[in-house]
Formats: sequence, structure tokens, C-alpha cells
Amino acid sequence: MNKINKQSFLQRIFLGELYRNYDLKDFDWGIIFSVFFLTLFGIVMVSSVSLPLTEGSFSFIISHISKVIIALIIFLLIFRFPTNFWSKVDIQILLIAFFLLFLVFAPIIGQEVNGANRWIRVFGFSIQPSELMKFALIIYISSYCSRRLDEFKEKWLGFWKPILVVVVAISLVLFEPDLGSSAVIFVVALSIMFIAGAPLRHLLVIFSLGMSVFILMILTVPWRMKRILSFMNPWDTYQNEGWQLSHSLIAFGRGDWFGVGLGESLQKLHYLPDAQTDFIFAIIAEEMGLLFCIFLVALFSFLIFKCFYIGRLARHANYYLGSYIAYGAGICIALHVFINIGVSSGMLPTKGITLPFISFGGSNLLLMFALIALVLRINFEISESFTNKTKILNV
Amino acid sequence: MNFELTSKYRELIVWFFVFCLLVSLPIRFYFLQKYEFETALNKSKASSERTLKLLSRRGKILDRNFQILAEDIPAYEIGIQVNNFSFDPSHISLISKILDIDSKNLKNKLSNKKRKYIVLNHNASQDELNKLKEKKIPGIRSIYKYKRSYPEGEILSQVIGLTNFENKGQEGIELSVNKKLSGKDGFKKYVRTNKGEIIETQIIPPNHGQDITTTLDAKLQYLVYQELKKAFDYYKASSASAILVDLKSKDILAMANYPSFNPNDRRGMNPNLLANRSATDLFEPGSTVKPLALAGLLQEDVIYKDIIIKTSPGYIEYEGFLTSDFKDYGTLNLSDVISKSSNVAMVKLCDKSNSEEIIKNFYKWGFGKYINEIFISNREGYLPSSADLSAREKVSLCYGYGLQVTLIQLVGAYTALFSNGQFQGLNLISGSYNVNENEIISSEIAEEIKIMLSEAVNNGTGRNALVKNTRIIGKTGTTKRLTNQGYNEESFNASFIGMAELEDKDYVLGILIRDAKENGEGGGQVAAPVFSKIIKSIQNTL
Repeated sequence: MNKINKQSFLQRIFLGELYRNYDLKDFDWGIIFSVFFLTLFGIVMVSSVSLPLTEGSFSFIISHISKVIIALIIFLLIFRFPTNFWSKVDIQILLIAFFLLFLVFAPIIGQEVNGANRWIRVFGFSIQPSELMKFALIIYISSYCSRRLDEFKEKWLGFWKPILVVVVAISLVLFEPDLGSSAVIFVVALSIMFIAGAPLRHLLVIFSLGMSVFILMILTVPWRMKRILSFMNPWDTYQNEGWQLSHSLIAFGRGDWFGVGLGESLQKLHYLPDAQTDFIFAIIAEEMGLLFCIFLVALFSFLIFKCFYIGRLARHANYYLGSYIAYGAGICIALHVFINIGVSSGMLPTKGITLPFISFGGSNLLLMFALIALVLRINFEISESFTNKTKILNV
Repeated sequence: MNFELTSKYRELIVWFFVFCLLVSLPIRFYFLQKYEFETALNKSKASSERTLKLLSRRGKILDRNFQILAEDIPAYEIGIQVNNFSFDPSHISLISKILDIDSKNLKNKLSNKKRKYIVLNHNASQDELNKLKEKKIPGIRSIYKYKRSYPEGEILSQVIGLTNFENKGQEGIELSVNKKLSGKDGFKKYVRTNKGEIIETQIIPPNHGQDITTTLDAKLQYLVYQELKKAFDYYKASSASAILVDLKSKDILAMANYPSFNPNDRRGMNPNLLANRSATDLFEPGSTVKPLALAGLLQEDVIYKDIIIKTSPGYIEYEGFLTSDFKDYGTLNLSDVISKSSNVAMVKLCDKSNSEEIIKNFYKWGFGKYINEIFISNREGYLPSSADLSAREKVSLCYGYGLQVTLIQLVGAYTALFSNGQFQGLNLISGSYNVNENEIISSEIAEEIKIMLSEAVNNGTGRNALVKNTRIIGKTGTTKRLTNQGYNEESFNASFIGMAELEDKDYVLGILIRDAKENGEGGGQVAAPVFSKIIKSIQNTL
């Protein structure tokens, strides 16, 4: 295999070693622009929400922008390496993710917020290991399925081995406890396996098992039950459990179709808890209106189906690893969008899931940029493979 | 299960599910908007949005020297929250003492458990509020507002009028120029953050009302009012009215009625006293219209100024009705007719004209129609139509029966007479209205009549109106009061309308004393002396 000799230093830095020439068409500009827009809008909204909370100090905004910059660096880093590279180190990434998940319960490093151990603190940064676990599992499951396509389909153990990994990961996340992220991991993992051709009866068994666990977790923990009940009718428990959702709905109501105007939100003024993270969509609805919200949902949908489309193209190119990763990324983003917006609009019980690219919070932003980097790289590679189909599998 | 899906269909299923998830969001938005927004907005308003009224001040009413006749002063609505408190009897007696409320009444009110809040006083002063606050009575609440204050009190109350408890015009000038006077309240919208900070979102400043300057002179008004009061007491009259006009500018300087009411104390106010009777009370003018009728006849050229009329034997039977004079005056010239106020002569003179002309003449003087816009309520009076007028009714018009006028119409007519026969209306609001000059009679005839009126004061019925060293001209009038049962032979309206040439200006003054019961009854005995006294007291202030 001959490398291209003309490759410049910058190309080497950003794209790694290439085996062919490329042009701008090899990048998916639709994804790039929508991510760019969403991130920019996220900075605007985080500013809008945080300024009155911090009495005009820019600390939140600076913190958010620095996280965006870190996410961009991670993005470039991931985009630089061929997808196969990540597939090769999947076990190592998984182990790091497990290690960090354990650290959540460690003293000093692990942080307890509102009775949940979801964070670890290193070098002044708070990291949510469950987000890294999502990334790790998408790569692990995808590479497992693509490597052992037949074994996975035919042997009993071939199916249950990755499931075991998923179950352990979910148990840890559940133990934090973080029901929302566990659900996302569970559904993303099963979806990848479903697409990869896992036997339906096995999937059905594991799916029903998972559902029973979820229902049990809700029924046995009183505050989860309360949340479920309060979500059905938040106004009845306005002063207590229903407070957050009530004010989220008030924000939607004040915004109506056209919004009260950027920066004019009332609910962000200490009424709506978590207004800059989990409930940022309510503030968007209040300030920008429902029509803009529908536009945002459409933009997210575009992004998600773009990922699916790349996954489909990759399968056509017999590039299964890329296909599964792209689907996994798309489903992961879709679940985040659906759960977040569903929660703030009162369609789903309250879960701490952030809105991709927009919410304040570094870990999720890193995860989303990492996933997008993978998808863009896959797109880059398949456009390469369409011109020279033989090369891609041999990297 | 041998059924296996190919990758293609598995992917499509995922596409479909994700599509459903994403589409459910806008659908949720739609139903949210449709079913939850109203509740949400109400909750938001209740929890965090407030509107504060920014009170506008009502315009002042000023006299011609910019003395304040009516203005808004700060006041408080004081109320008490009832539901949560059981009242200490000592508190009740304190409240009743400070706010001057009957304590039994107050106890009853406070024991009504259905009401949460009871207004104790709509217009309490700062002083009263401070006293209440000192006592630290639980549940007392106060709302800042404006209250109308009338510094001149009862002397002007019927002209200036009143505002209601919402501070909107209810009577008098307050009502007629309410639009100009009233301001528009502004408001301040603000939101409260969950930490209790207040953030203003919108301010519409209040639009204060415009000030109104009247032509009235509070000082002269006071003099006129005092004299009316004295006359009321002296003659034991039922009421008295007077209007003072500056001849040159046609400005109404004073307009008074007695008895009057105190606009600053609404309790125990007699609603019958609210009306400004000088502009709304109708009466038959009697002899006071004789000069006007005569002027009309001269203008019409049916009589000439040197005409001589035989009035013996002091009465005349006309169309079956008897008209008589006070006594047999013998043969009279026109000047004597006015100064002696001979009814017989008027009957004979008016016989020469037709009813149409006579009524047209009165109409020109301003009877039977609203006087020009003077911004207080007034009445058009009554003038019969010429078509169904008998000859008898025609001649009685000439000595002032069979028509009804207001004092202000009469004063307006005399003002025109004294202005060389030019009708220009009257003014009450400065710079408000300019009536085009309207010639009723020629200036020569007007001058003739004035000489006759001078004679009437100097040698006729109006002698009591005389003031030393001052030219006074004018005419008395005495009419039987019309009641529901017809004419009351015992009760009279005594009037005098005249002009006094003082050093600074010429004043037109109309006096009407109703139902004098002692010390005289006719215009010459009752109204003319009041005229004289008012002019004298004006003179003293110069």
C-alpha cells in the first residue's frame, strides 16, 4: 500500500495518514453546519440563562466556552485517527470507562450531588464517567459485532458476552444512581446489536429483563414513584415535586408560539431549577417560542438521520464497523434529544439528561463531539472507499 | 423462531422508531399549547407577575388669578383585613374614634366573617393614617390615592361641582370638562424572581390631567356669596342666586347660590343643594324682560321712542283677562313705562306687534335656547311657539309671564343690552369660546334703553340699588312663583339685573331672591338692595 507522498504537514496533523487525495465533498457539511449552529446557539442560551443567575458575571459563559474548545480538541483528535484505530483499542477504552465509573464512589474524587454519585473531580474539572461509558460501549459493541459477525449471530455465548459487559456497565450507572443514562446505554447497546443482526429471541429476552428491572427500580424507590406521579399532574404538587415541571410548563406557556424574546425569560430567574442544564429547553421555549423549538427538533432530526444515512452507506460499502458506530451515535443523540425535550415538555418523567450541544455541561458536550467526530470520520472513510473500495478494510 | 430480518429491514425499523420519537415532540408541543398553556400562564401571573398602577393626578381648577379652586391631594384608602383577626374591643373604639365611624356600626361590619377586607375610609388623610399606624392595630391596610380638595369650600361648590369616589367628575365644571381634567393612569409591570428580587419590565408613566383656568374670581365670589347669605337670612328667603359678569370681556366673575354645600364633607350632603340654580332653575322673569321687549318693539319699528301711552285707570281688560299696575300712573312716556314698570303700558305696546316678532325678539336675547357653551349644566328654559299663542298670551309675554328663563340667560341678555345690543354670550372657562358678535338691536336703541334703565334706578322701582357716586342702571322684577298648584299669591321671585360702572370696569350683576318672607317681597325691596350691597363691597375692595 502506497501512501500519498504529497500529504502536507497540516493534513498529517488533522487527518492522519491518507492513502488518497481528498476534496471538501468528503466531509459531511450538513452535519458540520448543524453542529456548528447548535453549539453556537448553546453558547447564546447558556449566556442568556446564566447571566441573571450569576448577577452579570461571565463565569458560566467562560466555563462553557472553554468546554466547547476542549470538545473541539477532542473532536479533532478523534477525527484524526481512522475508525479502525478506536476499534482496536475498544477494550482499553472500556476498561478506562469502568475504572472511572468505580471512581465515582471513591472518596475525595467522587462527588456526591443531590444524593447521586455521578461525578468525579480531577484537575478542577468535573467529569461524568457515564458519558465516557456511552462512548466506550458504542465502540466496543460495534467493533465486537463487526469482528464476530457470525459468532455473534449463531453462538449463544457470542450474544451474551457483550450483553454481560453492558449489564455490568448499566449496573454501575444504576448504582450511582442514574436511571436516565442507564436507559440510554441499554437502548443504544441493544439497538446496535439489533442492527448487527442479533437473534430476535435473545434480544426479546434481554429487553424484557431490562424493562422489568427499570419498572422495579421505579416501584421500589419512593421518590421515583413521586416523580412519576408528579409528572402526570405537576400542578397538584406545585410547591413540592411538581415545582420544576410546573415552571418548565410555565416557561413553555409564556413563550407560546413566538417566545418572549431572547434574554426575557422569567422562569430562569431562580424559578426553574437546572435551567442551564437539563431544563434549558424550557428556557429556549420561553424566549424563542414553540416555532423555534420545532425548528430545533427538525435540526436535531436532520443531524440524527444524517448519522443513520452514513451508517446505511457504510453498510452498503460492507464497512460494518462504521455502520454500527454511526447508528449507535445517531441513536445516542436521538435518545438524548428525545428524553431531554420530552422531560422538559412534561411528556416523560423528570430525568437528568442534557440537551446535546446546547446544555451547559462538559461531559455530554465531549461525548457528543466525539460521536460526531466518529461519524464524520466514517463518512470521510466511506467516501474514500467508494473511490477505492479495497483500501478501507486494510488500514 | 426461524424468522430472521435482514439488515436492511432492521435498519428501517430503527429509522422508523427514531422518527416516531422525534415526531412525538412537536405533537407534544401542540397539545401543550392547546391544553396546558392557560393553566401555566395563570400560575405564572399568580406567582411572579405584578402590575402596579401609577396614579395620574386630576387637573387643577383655577380662578382667573390662578388661585386654586379644586386640586388633588394625597389621600389613603384605609381598610382592614377581617378574616384572620379577632378584634380587641379597644381597637374597635380606637378606629371608630380616629376615623370618626360609629363604633356599633363598625362592630357589625367586622363581625361579618364572609368578607375578607373591609374599607374603613375611602379618603383618609395622611394624619389619620399616621394615627392609626401609631396604634399598631393588626390588619390595617392602606392604599395611596388622590382625593379632590376644594379650598374655597361651599362658596363655589355648585359651580365647580364634585368628583365621585373614583375621582371622576360628577357635577359642575368637574363633570363638564372631565375629559380635560382627568389624566390617564400609567402602570408599572414587574416580575418577581424566586428570590424575591423585583425586576421592572414595563413602565407607562401616568398622564396627568390638564389644569383648567376659569374666569371666576374667588375674591369676588366670596363677596357675592356673603351678601347672598345675609340676604337669605334677612329676608327669610328659600334661596338666593347671583351672577356677576365683567361687561367688557363677558367673563363670569362670580356665580353663587345660597344655600350651598361643603364639597369637602360628603357625609350628610343634601343632594338637593348640588344644583347650580343660577343656571338650572327656571322662573318667569316678569318685569325684567320689559326693557328687552321694548327694545324689540323699537327695533321692529312698530313704536317710536316718543310714544305716549295712557295707562289710566291703572288696569286693562284684554281678551277677558285683567292686567293691572301697582297704581294708576296716568299717561306715560317710554322711559316712565320702564321706571314705573307699567304692565298696562306693556300690554298696549305689545298689541301693536304680532306674536311671531315678539317671540323672535326674545329668542334673539337668548331665551328658549341654551346659552353659548359655558361648561356647566344649564337649561334652555321655555319660550312658547308663536303658532299656538293667543293674543292674550302674546301680550303677557311682554311683561314677563308665559315664558321661563334661567338667571344666567337673563344676565346674558342684559350683558348684550349693555354691550350696545351685541350678543356675545358669556365665558366661564378662560379662552374657551368666542361667540361671534350678533347684533340684536341697534346701538342707538340700546343707548335709549340704557337711559330708561338709569331712570328706573334713579327715580323708579330700582331706587334701592343705588350706590353713591356710581352710575347704576338696571331693572327690577317681581313674579309670583309658579308651583304645582298654579301661581302662589303669597310667594314671589324678586330679581334685579343691572350694571354698575366702577373705577376698574363695568360689572353686570343679576340677583334672584326666591320666596322672601320677611322685610319685603318685590324686586325693588328685596333684590335691589342686595345689588347695591354687593356693588358697594366690590367697591370697597378696589
